[in-house]
Amino acid sequence: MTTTSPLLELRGITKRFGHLVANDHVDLQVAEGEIHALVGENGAGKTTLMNVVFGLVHPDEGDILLRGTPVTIRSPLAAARHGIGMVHQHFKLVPSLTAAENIFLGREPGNGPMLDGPEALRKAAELAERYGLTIDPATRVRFLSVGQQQRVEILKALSYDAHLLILDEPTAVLTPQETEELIQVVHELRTRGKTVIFITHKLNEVRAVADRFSVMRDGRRIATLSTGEATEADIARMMVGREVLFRVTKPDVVPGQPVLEVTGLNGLRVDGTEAVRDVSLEVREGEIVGIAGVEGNGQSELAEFVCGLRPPTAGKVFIDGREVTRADVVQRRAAGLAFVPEDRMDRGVSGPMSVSENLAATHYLDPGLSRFGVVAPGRLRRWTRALIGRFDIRNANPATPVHALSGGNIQKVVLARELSTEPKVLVAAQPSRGLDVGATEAVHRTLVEQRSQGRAILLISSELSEILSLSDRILVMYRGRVVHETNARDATDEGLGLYMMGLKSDHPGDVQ
Amino acid sequence: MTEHSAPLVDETLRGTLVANLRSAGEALVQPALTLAAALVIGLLLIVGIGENPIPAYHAFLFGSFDNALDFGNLLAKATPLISTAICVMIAFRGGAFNVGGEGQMYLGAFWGAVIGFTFVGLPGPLLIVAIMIAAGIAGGLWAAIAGALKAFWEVDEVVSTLLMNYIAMLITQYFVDNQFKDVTAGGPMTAYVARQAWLPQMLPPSAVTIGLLIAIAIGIASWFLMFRTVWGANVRAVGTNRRFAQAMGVNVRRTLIQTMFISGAVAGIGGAIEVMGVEHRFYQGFSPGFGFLGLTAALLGRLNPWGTLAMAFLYAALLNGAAIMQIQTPVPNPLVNILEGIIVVVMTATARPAIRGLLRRKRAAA
Ligand SMILES: Nc1ncnc2c1ncn2[C@@H]1O[C@H](COP(=O)(O)OP(=O)(O)OP(=O)(O)O)[C@@H](O)[C@H]1O
Ligand SMILES: [Mg+2]
Repeated sequence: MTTTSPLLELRGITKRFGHLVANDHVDLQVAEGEIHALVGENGAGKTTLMNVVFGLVHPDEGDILLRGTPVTIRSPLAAARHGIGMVHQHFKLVPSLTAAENIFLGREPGNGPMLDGPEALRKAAELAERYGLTIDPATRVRFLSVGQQQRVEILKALSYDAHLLILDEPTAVLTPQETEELIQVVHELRTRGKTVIFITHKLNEVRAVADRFSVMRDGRRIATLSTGEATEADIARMMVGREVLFRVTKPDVVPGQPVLEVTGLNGLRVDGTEAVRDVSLEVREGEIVGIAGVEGNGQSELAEFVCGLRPPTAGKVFIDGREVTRADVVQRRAAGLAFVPEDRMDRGVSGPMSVSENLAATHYLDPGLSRFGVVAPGRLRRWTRALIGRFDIRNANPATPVHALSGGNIQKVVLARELSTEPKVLVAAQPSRGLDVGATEAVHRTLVEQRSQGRAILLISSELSEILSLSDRILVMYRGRVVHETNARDATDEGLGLYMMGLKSDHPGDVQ
Repeated sequence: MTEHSAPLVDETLRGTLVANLRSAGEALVQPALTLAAALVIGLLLIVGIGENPIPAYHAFLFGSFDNALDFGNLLAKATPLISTAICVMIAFRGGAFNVGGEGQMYLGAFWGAVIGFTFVGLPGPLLIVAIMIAAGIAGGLWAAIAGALKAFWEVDEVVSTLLMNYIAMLITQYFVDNQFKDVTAGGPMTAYVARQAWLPQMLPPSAVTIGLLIAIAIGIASWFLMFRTVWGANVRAVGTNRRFAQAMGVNVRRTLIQTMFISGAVAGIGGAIEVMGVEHRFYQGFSPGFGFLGLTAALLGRLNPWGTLAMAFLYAALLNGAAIMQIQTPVPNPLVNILEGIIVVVMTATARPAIRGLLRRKRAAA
C-alpha cells in the first residue's frame, strides 16, 4: 500500500440497463480524507455509479480499487465490511421503528448478540454523541422531520465504522438551516479522517462543502476539478452543456378573481398535535403565493388540508368560489385543483407502476384515454410519449416502471401529470426538489407560464430563493401560523429569515 | 412534522422487481427452474427408497398426457385451481393477501347449489347464470367482510380471511346437516341441482366440463379488468402505494372492499362450477383444499394473470400426475405428498421477492 493510492479508484466502470448505458467507462479517483462532490443532470448516472461502489448494482465492466487493491463488492454488507457507508436518495427507514432500532436494524448476525431495546438506545445515543448528530434515539421514525430522518440514516451508515461515506443528494430534502448543519457535520467528519462523496444539484453547496468535484453527463465522467477552479456558472455549463439562466423573468400579470380561499383553518398532525392554527389566505388567478417557512411548521399539513388528503378541525376551503372543505380529492380535482406533493415517493408516484400509468392516474377521464372505464392503450401510449417529450423525462418509455427512473426524472413524472391538467389552482410543494439546474429552470419557467395563463399557484418551498424569485406575495409560516405576509418585491432573505425563526411576527405578543 | 412513510421502492430490489413485472413469458422461466429443482430432489428420494424412478417419473410427468381420460382429468383438476388462483392474484394486486379462497369457494358452491335445486323451472343457461351470480355474491360478500375489516379497522386480512375459512365451512356444514340436507343421500350434501344446470362434459368419460372454459374466460377477464380498465389501474395503485392512490383521488377503502369482493366472487364462482360440473350438488368436503392449492399456483405464477393461469394448469398436472403415479407404480403415497411439499417449499423460496414486496408494503402502511 502506497500513500499515493487514492482511497477509492474506479476504472472503466460500465453499467447497462438493457440498451441504456447508465455508466459508460467511468474512471474516478477519490483521495483519502477529501470531500468529493458528484454533480450532473438528472439521469446522468450518479446514483448508479455510487450503487456500484456500495454493492447494490453490479457493473458489467470495470474495476473498483480500494487503496490500490482491486476489490469486488457484491452486496451492501460487503461494502460495509470494506468501510463504505451510503445514505440513499430515497431513505430506507422503517417508519414504525424507533431511530435506534433503525440504526441497528439488520445487523449481521454473529457480530455479537442482537441489540435489544435499552442497549440499542444507549449505543445509538453514544454514536450520535460521538459525531455530534443530535437525535432522540427513542422516537419512532414516522414522527421525525426529514432532517432528523437523515441524521438517522447517516448514523446508520457510520455505525458500521465507515471511512467512506456516500451521501446521495442529502440536502435535497433539507431546510437551509439543516443544510448548513449538515455541511458542518461533513466537515467535522473530514477532520476525523473520513472521506465523503457528496451528490448534489445545488451548485453553491459544491463550493461550500467539497474540495473537488466531478461532473457526469450521459453516463460519462467529463471533468474533475478543484472547487476553487470553477464558478457556479461554469459547473452548470459543464453539467447541462449550455448556459443556464439562474433568473426567471416574470411578466407583469394583473391578478384576477381569488380562486383558492382558505379561511380560519385549524388542523392536527398525525400525532395529534396542532399543525395549523387560524390560517387564512387567498390566491388569485395569475398569482403565485409563496409559503416560506422552516419545514415542519405546518406547511405540509396545510397542503394536505387544502387538497383533501386530511380533514381539518376547523375552517373552510374554497376552490373557484365553491366550498370544498368536506369534498374528497376527486371533487377537488374536478373543481380545478392540481397538487405536486412534497415527497414524490410517498404520494407522488407508484414505483412499480409504469410511467404511463403514473402519468395517467388523474387523466383517465380525459377525452380519448378511456371509454366506459376501459383504457385505450394506443392512445395512452401516444399521449405519454408526448408528455415525456414535453417535460424532458429522460430514458423513459411509457412502459418503464417509474422506479427505474432517476430521482429527478421521477419528479418530472409528477410535474408532468399535475401541470398537464390545466388546473385552476395548483398547489406545488417543493416542486424542484431533486431536479438538476436545467430542469429546475424549466419548471420555474413552466410555473411562470401557468401564472401568465391565469392559474393560481400556491407554492410551498423550503428553498427561499425559489420563493423569492417566483412569488408575487409571500406568507411566512411559523408554528402553524401565518406570522407574516408581504409583497415579494419588498421581501429579502434576511427579513423573511427573522419571521421564519420566530424572532418577528405580525401578531403582536407572539414573540418571546 | 409530517408523516413520512418508508419509500415504497427499494433500490436494492429494483432489479428483482423489474424482473418480476416483465412479460408473462419470462415470469414462467423461474417457476420452471423451481419445478426442475424439486423434481431432481424427488428423484433422489425415490432412488433413496430403492424404487426405480424412471417408471415413477414417467407416470408422474407424462401419465396425464397418455390418453384422453387422464388428460381430461387433468383439465378437470385445473378448473377449480384457476378460480382460486385468480382469486389470490386479484386481491394481491390490490395489496391484500386473500388466503380465504377455500371458504369463499365453499359459500359460493353452497349458495349456487341452493339456487340450482330451488329454481328448477328456469331454462338451463339462465339457471347456470343465476347459480354463478349467487355463488359470486356469496363468495364476494364473504371476502368483502375481510376487506371492510381491513379498510376500516386495519384488521390484518391474512388472519381474517384464514379464520373465515373455518367459519364458512362450519356454516355450510350446519346447513347440509339441517335444513338443506338431502335425506335420501348418505352424507352431508344437498339435493341435486336441476338437470339443465349440469355442465356438459367435454372429454367424456373424463370429469372435465365446459366449466373449464368458463374458468379460463374468468382468468382472461381478470387480466382485462386489472390491466385494461381504469378501475384495475386504481386497484393496482392502491396495491402498490396507498398514499399515492389517495392523492390521485382513489377512494382507497372502497377500492379495497371492491377488490376483495371481486376476488371472493371468482372463488365463489369456482365453487359453483364444481357443483354444476362434478357432483351436481353441494357436498361438504368437495374441495381437497382448492383454495390453498390455488394460493400456491398464484404465487408460483408470480401473481401475474397469465403466469397464474399457466401455473394452475401446471399444478393440476402435478396433482394428476401424482395420482397416476400412485396408481401405476409402487411409489408410496407419502412420497407423493413429500414431492408436492418440496415443490411448494422451493417455490415459496423463489417467490420470496413478490411476497417480500407485499410484506414491505404492509410494513410501510403500518
Ligand atoms: N434498475 C434500473 N433499470 C433500468 N434503468 C435504470 C435502473 N436504474 C437506473 N436506471 C437508469 O439509469 C440512468 C441513470 O440513473 P441514475 O439514478 O444513476 O441517475 P442520477 O444521475 O442519480 O439522476 P438524478 O439526479 O435524477 O438522481 C437513468 O436514466 C435511469 O433511468
Ligand atoms: Mg440519483
